Amino acid sequence: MTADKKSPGKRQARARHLSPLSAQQKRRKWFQGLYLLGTNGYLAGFFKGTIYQGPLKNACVPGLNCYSCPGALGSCPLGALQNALADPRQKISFYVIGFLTMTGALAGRAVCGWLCPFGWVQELLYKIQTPKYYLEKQLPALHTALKQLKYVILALFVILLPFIPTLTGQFGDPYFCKYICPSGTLFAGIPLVSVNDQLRALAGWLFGWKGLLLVIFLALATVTPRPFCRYVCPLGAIYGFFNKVSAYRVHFEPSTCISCNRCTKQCPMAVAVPHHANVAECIRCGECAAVCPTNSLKVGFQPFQTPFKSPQTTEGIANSLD
Amino acid sequence: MTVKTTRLLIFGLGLVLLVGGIARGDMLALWRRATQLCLGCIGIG
Repeated sequence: MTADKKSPGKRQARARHLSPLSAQQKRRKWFQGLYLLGTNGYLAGFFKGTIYQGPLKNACVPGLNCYSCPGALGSCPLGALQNALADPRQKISFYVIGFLTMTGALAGRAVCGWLCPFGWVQELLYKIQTPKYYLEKQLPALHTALKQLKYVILALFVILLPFIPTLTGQFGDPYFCKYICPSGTLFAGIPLVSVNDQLRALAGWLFGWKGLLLVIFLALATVTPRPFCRYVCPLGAIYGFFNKVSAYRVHFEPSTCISCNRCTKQCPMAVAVPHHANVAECIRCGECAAVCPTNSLKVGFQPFQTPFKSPQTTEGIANSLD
Repeated sequence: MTVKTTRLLIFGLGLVLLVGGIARGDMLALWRRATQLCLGCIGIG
């Protein structure tokens, strides 16, 4: 008896690792890499230990990308939102809210699946061959409860805590960036502290705390898919509000679905794909469509052209399910 | 209301906010903040 026969969980994990990439998946990998390079193109900052201060910094980028990253050319919308809320002279940035609303209406959480650098890092870590754990299967009640955590973090750390001090005319702090954001530690804190002696001398308990959080999230990402995106990220929570209406979405053709549930098993965000494809958790990564044996799922701007015809024969489907 | 109409309304609202924000000087305020090193954001502060 092989190890795979002993453990269906291991077999499923191997299937997730080894499934060949579809054209869309390859395109997505390129997108993620090029976006990271394109939005963090100030390479001199990594050597000097400084940040870019040019005119592009007045614009937001869609993903979680700390504007104190040495390479960052644009501004993180979540950092911008908190810093505006924490400023008693401004309080609300219409520009940032408008940017998030427009991006949400166009892409929803496709930003998480296609652009976010920290999401990409988690995906790469998940490829490491380790035992895999799926909270939605092993502890479904905890998974359901933890999914709400990102909304609590959004309300508390992104909105209320930065905003409350401004009611008495004081400056607030960007609490999420300061106490939680592992992306800021990875892409900004560590590169800056590594090359800037003055900053290294200032690093204290807070840097240690954020470093610890980063290690925890990176370690978790090797055993479970995208733990930060699933349970913690408040930017994902904001874009998730728009998932039901966003133009870039999952299209489902029920007439050709054979209910094999491959899509649901493959989903890194534990979405029950065929009938709940566009819920707030879906990151539009297209992994579901890539494994669908009848091509009943499609991720994109355009819906299926009617009448829909599956390109595969019944025999082909049967063979692919063996 | 269809999904397309809702999407269009939300997109339009976002556009109005974005343009209004730019006219109000929100981008300049963002540039002023984002070009300063945020010590708290990198875990020093």
